[in-house]
Amino acid sequence: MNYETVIGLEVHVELATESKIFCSCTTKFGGAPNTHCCPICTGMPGTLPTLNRKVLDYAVTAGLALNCEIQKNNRFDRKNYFYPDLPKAYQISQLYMPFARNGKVEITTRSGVTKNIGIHEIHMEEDAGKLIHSETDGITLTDYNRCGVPLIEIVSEPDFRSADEVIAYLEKIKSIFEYLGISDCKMQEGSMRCDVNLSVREVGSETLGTRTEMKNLNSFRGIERAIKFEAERQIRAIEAGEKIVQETRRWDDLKGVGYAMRTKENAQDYRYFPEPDIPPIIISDDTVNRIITAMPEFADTKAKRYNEQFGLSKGDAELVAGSKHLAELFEKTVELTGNPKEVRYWLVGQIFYLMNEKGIAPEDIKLSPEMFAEFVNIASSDRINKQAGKIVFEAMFMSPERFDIEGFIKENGLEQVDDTETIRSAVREVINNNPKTVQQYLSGQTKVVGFFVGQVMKATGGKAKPDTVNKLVNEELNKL
Amino acid sequence: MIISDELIKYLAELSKIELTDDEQTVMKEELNKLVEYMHLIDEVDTSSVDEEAFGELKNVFREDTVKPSLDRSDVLSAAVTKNEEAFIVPKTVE
Repeated sequence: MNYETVIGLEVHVELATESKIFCSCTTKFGGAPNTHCCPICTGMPGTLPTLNRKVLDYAVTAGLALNCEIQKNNRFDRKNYFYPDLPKAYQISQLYMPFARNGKVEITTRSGVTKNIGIHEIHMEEDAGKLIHSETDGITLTDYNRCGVPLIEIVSEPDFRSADEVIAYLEKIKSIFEYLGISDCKMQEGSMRCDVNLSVREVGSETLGTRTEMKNLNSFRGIERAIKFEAERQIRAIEAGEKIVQETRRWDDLKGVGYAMRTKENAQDYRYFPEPDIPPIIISDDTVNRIITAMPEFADTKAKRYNEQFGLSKGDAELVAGSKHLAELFEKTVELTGNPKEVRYWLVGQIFYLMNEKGIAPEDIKLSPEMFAEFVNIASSDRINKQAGKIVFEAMFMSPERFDIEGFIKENGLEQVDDTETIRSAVREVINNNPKTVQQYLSGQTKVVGFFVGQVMKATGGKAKPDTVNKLVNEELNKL
Repeated sequence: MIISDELIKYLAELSKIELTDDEQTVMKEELNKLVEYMHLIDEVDTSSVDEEAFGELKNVFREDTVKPSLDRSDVLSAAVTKNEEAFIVPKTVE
């Protein structure tokens, strides 16, 4: 039998505000345990939570970016549960009236398939604290620094059919939110987290199978492996005539296996009710319009523009536009030099190459647009040729702090030689030293010209101007 | 009786508290009294009152400004079990 996997995602994203959602404690990651806490975020009796205005702005921005309908009337609700990651014993969330509904995100997978993923809703809520479980003495330590850090939860429709699509969606959301500056979406720091609802069904079937929910997924790779593992587990179970149990499962990334949580942990009854401490939030048309006006250009639009305006190939354009950092480096350097062609040459040829070769992430590139521009101006003059340019570029790219381009060129004798007499004498010497090849040339094998050019370049330490070398090699050979 | 024995047991389980049979009996009695008392409010005619409990109050915000947090010793001061940096609770996972 042929099966298809049906996946829906709940993605939690921490919003990059300075202070927490309902109190003035810092949202900074890390910090000694329980040092970013106050009576409000530790749930002391008699305290009053007040919504951070910027959380609402960021949330609405995210909702608009994901093509959602922003809801005018907003309320918060209490989600009650007794687990020590939340000292109040309830999480302030939005159940009945989420601020955004009915969105969609267009994704393109690695294999080039483009499709839309529906967004069911997005709601605002507060993050919970962190628990550190002791290995030895049967205790759990609590750290409430993260309690009250603002979150949005993006609930997708069950529109995914593969791990590929899930990863493409997460990368898309990460890229959009980075552009907007509303979250850094760092999975390893927990600022972007993902729960996966997964079921399998016979291909062609219209009804959904029983789903399981996987929590604790904190890397793209982990998500991909967890999805493959769970889909295969469900198919095996069905083939063996077993029933899929609707349950919450944990993914153990180290062991590469998922397992069901005890059924008691599965008992979910959150006893939601409207949060009486927070008055209704009305999102006016003015607010929505103000946010729309302030929206930056997104990766999709940028990539299209890079392709049309600067002649980047579609793939290269998407790669550059997909990272805010790379896009800024590219655009700023183009602006400073007015030479998009040359910037494109070094960006695609060298930056992409070096990122790959040295395993450097876009956000870790230290090269500034100013230095890149200075380099481009030198490289596009006759001062250095492309070969020398590559040497300079790599040295500059790897340690751009106080890098001295001019000094480096001089120290390493990389200046281009375009002195006709010097080059001509090198050409003559190469011709004299290679009588056999000269014979081949004279017998009509003109492709050996390339050999002579190569030898002359070598003889001049790679510094001769290739055009001049070409010209003089041909001239000298024709004299024979 | 609005609160049954089953409901008391269920609520205790949700709240992660253990109740003896005697405690359950007491709890059931007290909760029922409480809920009955709450029902007094049903006697008020609210047909002309807007459903919105907040009246005119809406859009209460604070600006995104960081203020100093509490000293950790103060955060932990009322805890029954703690070490120098965290609250200590019974282990929550196996």
